[in-house]
Amino acid sequence: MALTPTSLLTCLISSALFTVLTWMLLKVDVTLKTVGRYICFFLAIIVVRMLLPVEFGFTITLSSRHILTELKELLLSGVSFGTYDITAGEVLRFIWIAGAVGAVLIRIVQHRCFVRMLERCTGYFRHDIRTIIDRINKDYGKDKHFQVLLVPQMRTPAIYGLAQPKILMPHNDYTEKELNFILGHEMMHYYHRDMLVKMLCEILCIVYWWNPIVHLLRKIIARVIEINVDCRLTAGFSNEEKIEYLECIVKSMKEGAQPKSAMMIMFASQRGSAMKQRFQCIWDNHWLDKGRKGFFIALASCLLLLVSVSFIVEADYDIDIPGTFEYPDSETSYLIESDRGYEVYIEEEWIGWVKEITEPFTELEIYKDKENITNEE
Amino acid sequence: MGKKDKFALSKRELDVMNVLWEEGKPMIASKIPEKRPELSINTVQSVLKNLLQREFIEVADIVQSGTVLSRSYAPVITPEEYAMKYVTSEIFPFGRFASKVRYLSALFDSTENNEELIEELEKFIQERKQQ
Repeated sequence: MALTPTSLLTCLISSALFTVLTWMLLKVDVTLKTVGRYICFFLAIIVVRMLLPVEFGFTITLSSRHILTELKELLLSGVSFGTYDITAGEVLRFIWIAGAVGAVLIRIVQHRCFVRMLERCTGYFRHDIRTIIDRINKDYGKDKHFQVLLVPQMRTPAIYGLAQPKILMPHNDYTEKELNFILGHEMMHYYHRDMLVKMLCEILCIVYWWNPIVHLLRKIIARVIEINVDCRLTAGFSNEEKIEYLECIVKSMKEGAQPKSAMMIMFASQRGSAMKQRFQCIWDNHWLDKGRKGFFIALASCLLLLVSVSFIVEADYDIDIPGTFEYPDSETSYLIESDRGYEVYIEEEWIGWVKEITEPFTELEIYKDKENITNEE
Repeated sequence: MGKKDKFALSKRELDVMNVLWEEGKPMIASKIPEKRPELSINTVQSVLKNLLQREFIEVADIVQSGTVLSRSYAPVITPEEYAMKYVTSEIFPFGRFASKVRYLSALFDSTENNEELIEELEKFIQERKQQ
């Protein structure tokens, strides 16, 4: 495995194509109805691909003279900063790393402040919350302890925490039934390990902070995660219960927009088409349709991943370099002194450099430069 | 994050208040460690004294506990009042700065006006109700 500029470029191009494809698939209601939750497979391969921007032993290299050659030359071009001479590629690498470090620092400070703020929050004690949580746990066949906190700054309920989950409740006056929906939804996020997926997305967003495609990918994943939980939760609901559930989401939305964060998954944070699609999915509930589609889509996803790591495109230069040379003849071959040792010319053609004069070059004439050859002739 | 309010409760004090709020009725000191085993009776006694002095709780009654009489305590402030008064710091510092990049992804969404969206969703629900 090796990380090279071209392997990174290939990874970015392939994952961008997959992300845009998934985004387009999600936009079409028919696709959502037929393949629904299996879109997760596509998303998984994109995340895996972005986490592995490397070339493998089996990767086949394709040569391209379009764009790549110019791009490579541009990256290798020199930039001067006072007495320092560095390449444009090195400058870009520095900006990339500095941006990622900055993004990490911002998130660390945000996280610390958030945790400190939560430490000052009281518990949420409306409608016998413990009994509701115990009942939902029993339904899911789990026994995890969830701390429920009243966070006045929140506008919509959310879940936070990987090991010790906390459900953060806003100041809204929810009924017991609405609390059942909200807690059921948030607890399902936890049991489906959606927080881990969110963390993984956040790592990608930190590493590729400059890439809008990664931010689009995070948005798509958030949308799929929400639809998945909604559809699983409401799978056994009657139409009346579904309406109550949808009304509960609208009620949360009415409290206003909530600042989004990597640290938590929120109950009603989406906007626009994502929310409309979520409503449609809850009502239709085709998401959990079973069949062989899942197997074929998983297979197709794996094949796509394999294809995307099997090829890499390298810049091609218009230089014909033969693999073998004739044994040097002192009549037609010679050496020219250079900074890197000696330039070797065989039959008047430049071959390469040598540091020391050893066999088979010991018999060859050594010139200071090309002009010397012409003069002597 | 805003400046820490010196009148806000400490972690231990908040633990005791949470027990009183959760119980919903006055409690005697010895019952609190039963609900939160990580709190010893000595800690609870000391914390209750502080809370009483700072008027976060009051003595609700004198009740018989075994062979002796004990004070029972009740919170004076509700969790909502406490939260509104003391948990006032910003959730995410640099929130605006950090979310700038995310606005790029908002370009892919057609409707960004929340009120319009809510109206549309309510219409969706009404239509389903009439079906």
